[in-house]
Amino acid sequence: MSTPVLTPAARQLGTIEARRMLRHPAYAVALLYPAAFAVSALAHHEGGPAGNFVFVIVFLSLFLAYAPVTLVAANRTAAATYRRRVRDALDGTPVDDRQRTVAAILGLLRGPVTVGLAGIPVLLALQRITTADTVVRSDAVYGRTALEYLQLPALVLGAGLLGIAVARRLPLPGALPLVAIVLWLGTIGMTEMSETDLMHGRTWFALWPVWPDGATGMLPRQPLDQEMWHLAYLLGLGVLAGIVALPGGDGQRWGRWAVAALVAAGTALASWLQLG
Amino acid sequence: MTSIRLAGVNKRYGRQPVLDGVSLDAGPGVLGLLGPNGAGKTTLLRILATVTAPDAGHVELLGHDAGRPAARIEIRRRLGYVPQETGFPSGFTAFEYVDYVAILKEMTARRARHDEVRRVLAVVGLTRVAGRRIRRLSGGMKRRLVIAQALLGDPQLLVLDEPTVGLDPEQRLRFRDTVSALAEDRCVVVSTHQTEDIAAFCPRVVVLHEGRVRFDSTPQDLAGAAAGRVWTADRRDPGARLAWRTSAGALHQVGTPPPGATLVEASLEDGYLLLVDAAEAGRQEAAR
Repeated sequence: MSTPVLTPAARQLGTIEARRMLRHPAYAVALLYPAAFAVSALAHHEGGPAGNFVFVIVFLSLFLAYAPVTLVAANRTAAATYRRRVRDALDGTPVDDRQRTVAAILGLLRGPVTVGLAGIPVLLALQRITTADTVVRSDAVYGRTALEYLQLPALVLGAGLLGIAVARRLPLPGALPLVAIVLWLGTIGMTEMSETDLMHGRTWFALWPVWPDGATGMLPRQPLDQEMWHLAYLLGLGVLAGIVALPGGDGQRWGRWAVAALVAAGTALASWLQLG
Repeated sequence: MTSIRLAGVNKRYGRQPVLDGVSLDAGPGVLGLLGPNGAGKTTLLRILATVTAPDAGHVELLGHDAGRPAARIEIRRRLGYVPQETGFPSGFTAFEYVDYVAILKEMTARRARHDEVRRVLAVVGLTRVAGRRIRRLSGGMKRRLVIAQALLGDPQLLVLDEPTVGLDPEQRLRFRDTVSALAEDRCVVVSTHQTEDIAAFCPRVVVLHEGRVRFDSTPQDLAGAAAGRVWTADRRDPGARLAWRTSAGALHQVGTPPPGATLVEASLEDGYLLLVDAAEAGRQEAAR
């Protein structure tokens, strides 16, 4: 029989892991991107109305910088206690590897995912001072509901779980950059700029929201049912990464496979239904 | 009470046998483990720390069968382990690292845990730098930090792999003091290349060579094995297996003394050198 994983020790470690992830320098480096974007736009008198400009900067910071970089922060935090020379001392303690992985997942939930959730009311508040009626088409901001913005914490969760899975299952130099490149190229490959207000079918398979369109700025709201299936698709992929990350306990192999198969089937269904 | 009971323990890495039928019993007290590089000391200590499992043989620690997962957790609750080489997660202060390990040792009551962390940091003399980031600590301080985490929770079995590497003379003496006090009522296994450490505070010494126990007795007996085979002279004799000039200027020689040689008292180091030399010669003979 395997030992429980959600122990008091795992919960306390989760608090520490959350702090370590949030303090990871990758976030500061990633936020240089929207900062540079803001400086450049100001210098060239771009960005449209002030409200829209602020919203876009915050949106870019959260969706296109903070969320993807959680892959790095979670990976480096989980990998730091998994290197051979570090873990030797830790492996001689009663809190086993499974509990330590659960602690990393708890840290992800308490830290970066909580920040992602906190981003939703910020975006909802900021979009009140935005407008879709702008001189330049790409400056328009179309408000969305909290349900649609749930893709932000879902992205953070998925990126973090994938980062932990890579740390635990592929503890090799270069594994993380390789995974990041594959994800990046895959998402770029799936993204096709829209010529209408509705996003192209293939783009729904991309691993972030479909509304930011490089050619036309932000698209108007997409059908809510498709948005919710896209959310389920993102969450499904994230949960699959979480299942991969968690080491199996004794006698739990078939249970894990069954859960993984169910989640994979649900994700495949959501990926189909999101196409509308 | 027997804290360690090993019977016929074997371990291989690929085709290379690392431990070959090691059997050992140990109770309270300090057991010193000596052996040349690659003798299997670290592997043996990793097995005692339940970090790695043997390929064959029986391992019983603190009355529990280490082959059973549930029993391993019980053992780890009463175990302190200093690995040979230790890395640290980045970003931790000394206090945070020991606190992290304390949680891994299931000390979940925050105030009591912090008191315990402060206690072990004081034992190894790191109170002053408790808030300093680990990367800013010296090599000796980092080693003491690893010793500190091993002392958490009053362990009944301490497994220490070259714990004194990098410690300054004063800290080594303090370490001996700490370990000797702990060993009054618990088992401490220390692997080291410092024969003077073994002579100073280990009542029992085991010598491993090529994965086998070659000697298991007191340091005095190990030194005694070299009795009559250590002498001094001004020039190196042909029968000397090893020779070095001492601070007094004479050449200290170990091997087969010539007739009329000025014999001197053998040390543990002399006994160890002759033992390993004989084992190596035996191996070469067998290979031929």
